[in-house]
Amino acid sequence: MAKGISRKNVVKKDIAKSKKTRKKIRKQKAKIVIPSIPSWKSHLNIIKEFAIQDFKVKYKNSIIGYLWSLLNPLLMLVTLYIVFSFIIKLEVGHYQLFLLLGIIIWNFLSEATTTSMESIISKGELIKKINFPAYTIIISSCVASMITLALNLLVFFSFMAVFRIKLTFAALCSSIYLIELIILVIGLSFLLSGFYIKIRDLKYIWSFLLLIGFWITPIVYPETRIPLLFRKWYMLNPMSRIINGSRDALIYAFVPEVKQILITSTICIAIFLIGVHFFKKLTPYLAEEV
Amino acid sequence: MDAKEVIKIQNVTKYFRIYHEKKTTLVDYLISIFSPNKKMRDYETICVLKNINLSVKKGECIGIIGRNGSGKTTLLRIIASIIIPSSGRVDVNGRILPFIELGVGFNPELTGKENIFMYGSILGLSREQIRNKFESVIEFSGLRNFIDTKLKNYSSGMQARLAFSTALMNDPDIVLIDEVLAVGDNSFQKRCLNKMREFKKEKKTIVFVSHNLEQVKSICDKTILLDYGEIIMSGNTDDVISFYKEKLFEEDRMDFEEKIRAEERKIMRLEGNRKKMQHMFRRKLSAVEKKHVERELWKINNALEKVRMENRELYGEFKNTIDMQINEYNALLEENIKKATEMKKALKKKKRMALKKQLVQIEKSVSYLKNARDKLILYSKKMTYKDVSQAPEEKQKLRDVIEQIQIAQEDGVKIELIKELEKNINKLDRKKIEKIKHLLRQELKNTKDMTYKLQLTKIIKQLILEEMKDEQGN
Repeated sequence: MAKGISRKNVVKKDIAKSKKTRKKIRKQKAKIVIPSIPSWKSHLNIIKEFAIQDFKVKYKNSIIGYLWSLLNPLLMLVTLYIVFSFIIKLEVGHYQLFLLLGIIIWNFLSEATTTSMESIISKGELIKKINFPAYTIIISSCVASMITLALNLLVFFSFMAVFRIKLTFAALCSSIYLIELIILVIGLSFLLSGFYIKIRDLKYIWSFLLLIGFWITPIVYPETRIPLLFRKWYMLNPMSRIINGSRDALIYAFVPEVKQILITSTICIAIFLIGVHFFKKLTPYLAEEV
Repeated sequence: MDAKEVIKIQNVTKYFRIYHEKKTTLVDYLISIFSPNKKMRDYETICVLKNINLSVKKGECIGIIGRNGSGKTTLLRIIASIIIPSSGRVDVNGRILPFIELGVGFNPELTGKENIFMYGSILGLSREQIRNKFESVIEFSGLRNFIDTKLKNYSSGMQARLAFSTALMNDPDIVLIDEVLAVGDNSFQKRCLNKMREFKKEKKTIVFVSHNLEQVKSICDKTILLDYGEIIMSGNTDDVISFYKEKLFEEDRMDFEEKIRAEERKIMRLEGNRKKMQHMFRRKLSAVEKKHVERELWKINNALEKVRMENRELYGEFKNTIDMQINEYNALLEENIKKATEMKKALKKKKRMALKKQLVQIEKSVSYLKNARDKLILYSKKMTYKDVSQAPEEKQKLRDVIEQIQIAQEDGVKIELIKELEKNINKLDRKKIEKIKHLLRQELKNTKDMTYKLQLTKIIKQLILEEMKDEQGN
């Protein structure tokens, strides 16, 4: 039966203002059944394409181009080395390599998290218009920063060759730290980009936190400088564990203890799971929030 | 869900939150907790879709029409699973190609070729598949020379063509189109429509949302009317489109009537003001006050003229729309009458129940259309511009004249007023004639001027003659 189009503003009748109705609305669950098989291969392709695209776009317009990604840590290294070996004397063996590794790892963290926050907003337009797995955006930005990490690590290994440090079995163990680092970073970027959609201040807050974090983690100084009272809490920071452990393994040929590795891995996996869970909950509503 | 049904929507409702001031930063959140201003804290939930039930079978082509803000795009997005409904169930069986906006995900810094590959990967194709379809995409878009230039340097038409042709790479089972064919020049639109027809032949389901009712007629078998989130009518395209147009027309009509009423109110107000001003003239006014009153009268007259002009224009505009509607009705009538005659001929040869039923339906619609057309014609005759206010204007003139005769004390003034009366004798009613006779007889008694008495007797004779005429006429 055909009804007439009412001229009254039907919207006024349907505004749910009382708390009860709002609760009802939240409780009603919706089902969507789309029996399409999640084709992981296609998602991988998307990640690939996005990562390549991001990488290209980042460095296409700057003059030095992608050499900047190599120069950045080196310049930091030079300045910090000068300050902390001639002005304030910290006596640390192989201080150049000590610094460089820490800087490289920290740069990876900061780059991955900030670019993932930006990318989810810039590619948010895509999410609004096509049914599209949103997590691929974040993973692709992490992958793009992983490429820079790999290049920086090549530089580091060439430095190691210059300073004539041999790669021992301990160095192989540092690959575990690499895996933990990647898990941690991906989990953090899921968490942060999820919050970033609702609170746009987070960009500035996070850059501030990164700045503080740089000095809290033992990048510039060794962790032995922290008094024993606080060292337990200090070493709860996963980044400090990773940087410390990978430095010991690579530079000082110190085979890591199983206990320490387990603790770091639990922390990193916990953060990863929290991040993934939070983001999964958010994905159905992303199209409206972005 | 049946084997043939491709899309099934059951009892879907969707609520949107509208924040009066959207909170995007931490500071906003903190302020909102402590603010006395309710606007920051409150939001309204709007029901955008309400209890929608839809089922689409394979190979069907459905159109969705409705006004802006009636929930068409949200429906499409829910089918494409971009948005989740607040309650209800959605089953979709097949690969979807959503055409909700062209050029989604195109990066203006990259070349056309790179964008094609990017878009293909978003749609779920591997690099090899994209390479296989690359040639066909370029052919369809006609942009062979421009593939290696950056997207920044494309014109909007070229971008649209590229987007459309890339979207066709994916071999979809379901196509969702959202007012996309409105973009682009005529040749592009024709190409798109031809592609839609090809899809139809290949028995792919199409869900088509647009405001262009001709396109909807040409492609779709079944249409749905949405208004404020509810399905108001669903069925045959012709029926639904005519229903939609009628309802729009009715709304235009009601708007028009409201406007006219508003204007008439204005006119009455202005006339009332004018009366007051004219009454002021009775008192003994100083020169300054007289000037003031005259100025006000002048203003009021100007305003009255303006309003009348607007009124005339309104009537003229509305007549055009009425005429258009009448022409449409006539065209539809002719079509239906042709169909009816053909069907009768076919029925004579072979008797079939289906044909009979269709005949009955067509005859119903014919009678309905005739009724509607006749109603419209009557309405148009009724609502012609009448210069409604001139009749009372004259009546008021005469009333004023009569009052002024009573009030005026100089004979010269009275004579002038009586001359005015003579001109307008034809338009007087019985009651007025009696009134005036009464007045004039009283004055005969009171005056001593012979000329004045002669004039008065003349007028009284004319009035009596008129009364005799009226009685003979009745």
